[in-house]
Amino acid sequence: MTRHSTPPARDPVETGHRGGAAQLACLGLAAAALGGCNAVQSALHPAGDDAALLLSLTWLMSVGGGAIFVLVMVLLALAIWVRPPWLRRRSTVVALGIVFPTTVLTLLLGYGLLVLRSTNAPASGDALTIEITGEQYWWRVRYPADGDRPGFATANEVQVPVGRPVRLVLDAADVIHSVWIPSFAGKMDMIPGRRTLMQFTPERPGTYRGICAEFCGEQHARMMFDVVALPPAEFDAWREAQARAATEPASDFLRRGREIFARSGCGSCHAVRGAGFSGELGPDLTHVGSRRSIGAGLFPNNAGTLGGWIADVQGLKPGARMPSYGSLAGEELRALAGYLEQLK
Amino acid sequence: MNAPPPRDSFEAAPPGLPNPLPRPENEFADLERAWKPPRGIAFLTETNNNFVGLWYVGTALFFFIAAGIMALLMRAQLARPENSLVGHETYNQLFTMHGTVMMFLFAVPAVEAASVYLLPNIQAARDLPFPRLSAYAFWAYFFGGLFFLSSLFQGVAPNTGWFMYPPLTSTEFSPGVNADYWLLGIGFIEISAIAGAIEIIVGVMKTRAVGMSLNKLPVYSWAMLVFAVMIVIGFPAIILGTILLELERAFDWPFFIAARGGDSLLWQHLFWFFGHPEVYIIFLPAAGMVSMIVPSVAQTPLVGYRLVVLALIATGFLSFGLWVHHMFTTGLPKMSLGFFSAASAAVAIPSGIQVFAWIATIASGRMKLTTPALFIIGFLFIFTLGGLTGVMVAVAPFDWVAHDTYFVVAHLHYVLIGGMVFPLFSALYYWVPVASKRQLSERWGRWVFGLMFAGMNIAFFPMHIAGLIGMPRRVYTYQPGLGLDPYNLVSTLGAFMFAAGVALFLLDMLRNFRPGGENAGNVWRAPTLEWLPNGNYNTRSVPWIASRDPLWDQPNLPREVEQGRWYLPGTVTGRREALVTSPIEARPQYILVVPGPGWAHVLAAAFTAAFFALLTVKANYLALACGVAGIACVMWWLWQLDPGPLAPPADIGGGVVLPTYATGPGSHSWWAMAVLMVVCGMIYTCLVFSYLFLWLVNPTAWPPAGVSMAPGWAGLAGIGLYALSSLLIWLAYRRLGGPDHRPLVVPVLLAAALVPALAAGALGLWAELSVGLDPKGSAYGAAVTTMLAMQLLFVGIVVLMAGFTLARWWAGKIDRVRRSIFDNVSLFWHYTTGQGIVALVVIHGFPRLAGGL
Amino acid sequence: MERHRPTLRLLEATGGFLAWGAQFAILYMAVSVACARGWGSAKLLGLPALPAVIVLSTLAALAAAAALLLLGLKRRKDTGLTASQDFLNNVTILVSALSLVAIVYNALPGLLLPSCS
Repeated sequence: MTRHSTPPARDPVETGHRGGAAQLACLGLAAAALGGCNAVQSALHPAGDDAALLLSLTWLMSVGGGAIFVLVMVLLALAIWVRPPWLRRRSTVVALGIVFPTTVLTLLLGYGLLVLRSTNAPASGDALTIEITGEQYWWRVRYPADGDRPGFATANEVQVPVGRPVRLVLDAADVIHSVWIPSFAGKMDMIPGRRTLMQFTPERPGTYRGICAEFCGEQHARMMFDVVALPPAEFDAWREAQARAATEPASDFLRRGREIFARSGCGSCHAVRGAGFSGELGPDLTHVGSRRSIGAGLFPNNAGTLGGWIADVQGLKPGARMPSYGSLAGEELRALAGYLEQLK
Repeated sequence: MNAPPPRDSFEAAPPGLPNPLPRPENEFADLERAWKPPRGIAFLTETNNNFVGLWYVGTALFFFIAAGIMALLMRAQLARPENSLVGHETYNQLFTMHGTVMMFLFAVPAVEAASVYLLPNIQAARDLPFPRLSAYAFWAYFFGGLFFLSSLFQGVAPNTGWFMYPPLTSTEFSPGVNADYWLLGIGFIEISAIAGAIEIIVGVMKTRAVGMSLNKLPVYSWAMLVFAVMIVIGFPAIILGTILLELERAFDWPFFIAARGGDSLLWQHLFWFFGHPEVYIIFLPAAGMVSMIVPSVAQTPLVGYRLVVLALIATGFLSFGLWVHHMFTTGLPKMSLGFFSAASAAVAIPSGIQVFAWIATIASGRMKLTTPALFIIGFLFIFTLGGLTGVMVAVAPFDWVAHDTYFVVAHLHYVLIGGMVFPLFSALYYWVPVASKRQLSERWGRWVFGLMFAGMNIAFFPMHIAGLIGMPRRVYTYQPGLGLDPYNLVSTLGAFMFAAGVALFLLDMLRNFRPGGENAGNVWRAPTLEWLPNGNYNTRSVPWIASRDPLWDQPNLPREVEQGRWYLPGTVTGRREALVTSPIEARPQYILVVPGPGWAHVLAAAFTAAFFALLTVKANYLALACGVAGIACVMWWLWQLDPGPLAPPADIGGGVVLPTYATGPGSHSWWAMAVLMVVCGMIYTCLVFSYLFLWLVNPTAWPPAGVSMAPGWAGLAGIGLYALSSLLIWLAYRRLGGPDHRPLVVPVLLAAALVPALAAGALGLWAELSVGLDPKGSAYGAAVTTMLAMQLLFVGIVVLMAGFTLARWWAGKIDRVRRSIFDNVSLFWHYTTGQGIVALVVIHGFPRLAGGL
Repeated sequence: MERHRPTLRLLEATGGFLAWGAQFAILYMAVSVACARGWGSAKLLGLPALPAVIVLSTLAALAAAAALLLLGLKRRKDTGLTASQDFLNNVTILVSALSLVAIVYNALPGLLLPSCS
């Protein structure tokens, strides 16, 4: 396989969107439903309890706000062209400018405070806790031990069971980041020196996106992660697989890849449990092959993109903390990429 | 004041016009001569608000265009996903500079500039009370702003967002000079803003037309008064914040570094305590302008004047209770967030009052759809929409969705473009006839409005949706397949359309704007005083006014004023003069001899800007030299002030005899010093807040383990020394008011008072350093050192002032009557000793009381 | 200067919002310190401390604003006022009334939200 000097052809993370006709249909749908064509990163397509409540709040305020806007514009038009006597009076100014806003705002504030109370509410005892640390420009994920299930580390992907409350414990290693998973909840900042909590219950299985929502430096625009909601049984299976040690390479070619991994010093930054690599600076790669994307949500995950990333990460995501390994090429690069791809 | 007392009240019209015809032969010629601008290059030394105001507005528009071009580049980059028109490094500089230049170099200066021009004209004052100060503010802004903008062309512009959050802006993550450009570059803007605020407060309260009592004060003056007070309360937070961040970057004092006890949220509190009022600081003058334009274009008085004044005051206060709504996602307790949601909702009520007052006024008159009127309609449309999305984001849980997405980008542009740019353009079309021989083209104006209105909505409305479907802010690109493409493309098209409108406006300005000579006259048949016949001296004589709409209710006023029938039709001292009136009833109080053109303030501004610029590029010795030169120029400038009574009390007309000099409470310089003390007090209050906030986030121990406190006796001694110093100054103040014309004991007491002040300042810092306090080791150390170092800086300023005062005494320029400089220095002296006492009480008292908590 | 104590009149005219500001500051500081130090459920004289602070400071602010409102309404009947003094008095009334709304708004979170979460 050749080394890629340009980003590989993209296979979008979400489903069913190919070609010009579909694009046009999407546009029409977007215009009609204002929902956009994606359901993976949109607050208008909730998949969890908080997001659903927040969307009702959004609709309520949008419709209400829109109605008030129309009312004010109608009154303005009346003022310019009809000039009715009742619109000229000071008492009208008091009624419309004080009494009306006070009433509406009191009701809205009351409702808003109740929604504030219900969203990001402290999760119950059986919540699944996941720790996420924001780094420039990727996500360090840790699942602590849960009962008799062992803990493990991963990166740039979070999987959750449907129907069980999730508690994300957030902090930051360097600068301020922020987690936003629009399908599930409102966002929460990750602040160095502080721990913040994001609590919600996923309700609809599927693959979603989380993004960084606080400017964190050069590549803030390219800091995303995948969030997969699974039925509980499948989640348990995934979790169990993630906690295991790394798979043994099944062929000489792949073993050569592991040897190149060791020789190139990858282990000083990256951990591969069970293979003797325990670097903590970069993402944990024990099960990197099982992730949906690489580069923090940037490219789909396959040997091709893995190879391209290793050889020219600075060309693809300049400012990322990993150097490019331009010296690796040809067979060697393919072997290394193949080794990583099979770490499922 | 040594003159017979004037009439108590000017509520009723004076019997007959004060000054009879024919006027003395040389009176008008003398007036014109006093106000004639210098020729040649010395024209730049002019201080007349009519000239400085125009330069100021022009410079602000220049920065508007510059930041607008940055926006067009950004929009071009975002027109397609994964675009590579502009790389990430450039884009991050562009969006940072766009925000910073718009907020600091355009929005606030534009409204301040407009007021430099308009305020004296609207109040029929000859000039602002401190013309050299506003000229200095302009030049500092001009030089400093250009230097700041140049960073973009050198590729080292700030690139971490206009809000500059640490730790990203700490040295570790921003090692380059970019952040320093912002921190030091904004320094002179802060100085400009404070200078303008002082000017405006004193101008609104003390230099009005006779009989322009508070109930007749133009709404624009009310708006500017609230604006200026908000600057005085709000700007100090960012002044202190930038000082702390620069100290952290330059000296590694860890205010915001969590590992050593600091907290990045401290910056956010300081920044947003300034940042939120900042947007109302930007909006209120625009609202004030709208309240002047609407009655005029509808040809009917404003409906609900008192309600509008209420709305302005309410906005001023409530806007200080909103700042944490920019921090809703930082994990603060929900109840805290709730308080800010509540206040953010409350602040919508005053805006509603104003909108409906304007609608009622329009309904009461017959609004002709001239270009100013069109921009008013555009403003009402856009600002109302923006205000409603503002109420949406005020509800904290919705903000958890919308924060840091393009929804907020849409909201903020709706309120800023709607709430400030559209009123500004309405104001430009409306008031150009006051400054120019020709007004702007009505025909072109419709096109300008149409392009700007349509362009703005096309650009920004789609962003509401883009944000909700997942587009975050401050991203140099986005992925395809998320449904963002069409919204971004449409936004880009709208942006260019808006720019076309602005370009057309600029062309029209070039074609039609002709300042400097006669003006186009009262083309709108407007009711307020800026439309009186005027020249460099503003109005020939200062009128008495009967109502809020003087030109409608007193139709002979223009002719009477021009003929010199009203007050102060000439110049008593042969120099430039303004009439000072009382704050509530606007009774004439004294004649103020305003300083005229001079090089001192221009050079002071150049050296001030150079000081900050050289510090930015780390040329520290050269910076120090420029700083010293700047101070020297300020001293030279101040030396020319306080001339004492230049003429005996004079009759300004109608038997009203006024002194030509005033000191003490009630004088304009006393008021200015009082405002300055509030600014300093707010800076120090923010510093004390920072100290207490750091205590709150360091729960284990305060001082932290391993850090010692200075002995308590040092604190008590310092307090005693400061009190002693104040006592000595107070004694000197008393003696100067005694029977002796030049009592020698006064300079002796002044010099003596320096000793305990200096000792206290030095002792405070020495006591801490002697027990090993390390400002680098902990946030506690950094905070305490900064409190004491800043106090020592103030003592140093007092030393300079004392030296200046002693020099004036020695030169015979201070005596029992001529004592303004001495009075102001003693005010500042008491402030400094008071601040020192507060510092010591907090540093020594707080840990002993609460350190274990 | 005018004989009718302008500083006091100006303080009265803005007093409603000064009361709101004081209530706001007390509430925010109390919640911040209590939650940062873990005193969210502390007791003062047997009552929950934080809600007590909220209620007392709100009542105090409401009382101050209401007092100014009544003072202003009473002064309306004074016929010896100049137009400006009458105007300032009207401002006092309007400001005090609006500040009552702001003070109540600010207390709502204290009633509807849990102490520290």
